[in-house]
Amino acid sequence: MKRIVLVLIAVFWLSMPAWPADHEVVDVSVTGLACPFCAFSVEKSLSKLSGVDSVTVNLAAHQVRVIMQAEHTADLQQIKQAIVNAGFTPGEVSRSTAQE
Amino acid sequence: MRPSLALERIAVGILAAGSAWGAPVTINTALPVGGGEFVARGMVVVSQSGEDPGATDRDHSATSLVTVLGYGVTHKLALFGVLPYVDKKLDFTEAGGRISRSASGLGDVSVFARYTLVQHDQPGRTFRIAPFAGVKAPTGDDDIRDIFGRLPPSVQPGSGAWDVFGGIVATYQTLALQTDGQVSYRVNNKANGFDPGDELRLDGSLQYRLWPRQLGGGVPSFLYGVLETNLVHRGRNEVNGDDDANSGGTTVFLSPGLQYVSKRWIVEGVVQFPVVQNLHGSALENDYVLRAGVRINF
Repeated sequence: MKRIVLVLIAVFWLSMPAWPADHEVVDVSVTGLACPFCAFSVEKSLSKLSGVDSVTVNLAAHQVRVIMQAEHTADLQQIKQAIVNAGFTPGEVSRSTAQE
Repeated sequence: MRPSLALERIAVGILAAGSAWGAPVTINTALPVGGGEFVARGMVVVSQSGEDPGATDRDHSATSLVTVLGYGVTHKLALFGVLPYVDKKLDFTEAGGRISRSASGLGDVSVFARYTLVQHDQPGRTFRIAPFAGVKAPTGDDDIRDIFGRLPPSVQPGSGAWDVFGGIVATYQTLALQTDGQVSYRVNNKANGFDPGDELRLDGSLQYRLWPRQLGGGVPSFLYGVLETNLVHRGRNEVNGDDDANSGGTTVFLSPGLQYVSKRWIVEGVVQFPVVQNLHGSALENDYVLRAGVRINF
């Protein structure tokens, strides 16, 4: 009986959806970006995407971080295209999750 | 009585007005305008010309307020519109008296397109080449008169002619510095019996980040030291079909300045000093050109 209860608890936790407060974080390396004025163009372009909560650029690290709104999944192709539309070249992408 | 028209055209600097990024002050750049994005630039240009070698002791001054709007059709193709407001004055001595003639008003509107032909991006740096071409429309008044009659072309706000221009600009930008080089040519057309000489320009620019010395995280604002040079060669004018021997020639400017660049706006200023003026006949030499302005990314 004890084993069955443990299994049920495990199944319950494993079947739980992600917490609503979780935010998907996408880090993209961007090449060609070398001035503050240009960085703003990238921020603007990415901020227009659906579900994007915030965008931050780190010029020295050549990185752009896109934080999605809760319960929104990042579309990597859209993110890359937004960087291209701003006039720059997207590189490696990594995804992670951050809690609110 | 006619100072070289090249002086005021240098002062307005239509091609320079097209650049709207962290970029050269007196010339264009190959850096992008994002697709669907607008950038704007406002600039004050003050040009002073004196040192008249002739007996008329001419003194020509021009102040221009230049407004530029740029739009990125795509990330490679950008369109620009340039609208100057000009205030010009020519003083000279004639028959023992000092005469002053002046005019002000909206000048000629220019529109041009620029396409990024080469884009080579690396982390923290980019190299781009972009040709551009455009047209200047005769929207400014070219028939202003005073008590002495019709003002000379050098004082009219507009030229009265459709002109075309084009060129190519290359930009190499890193987080520490930026260099730009530009070659351009302008065909100045005839109006009211006056045909200004065509203009060939070779321009270069170096911007070096003075502050911050070390980059931290995020997007810090940059203070650049700016040094630019402009070689302007102008053909002789024609008046009623005859060459004006006292017009045209070559001028080389050296232009130090400062530029503060943040994410949303840029404040900048340079002073253009003529270091070489090889002008024909008694064409009026330039004393200096002052440029100051802001650019806004919105």
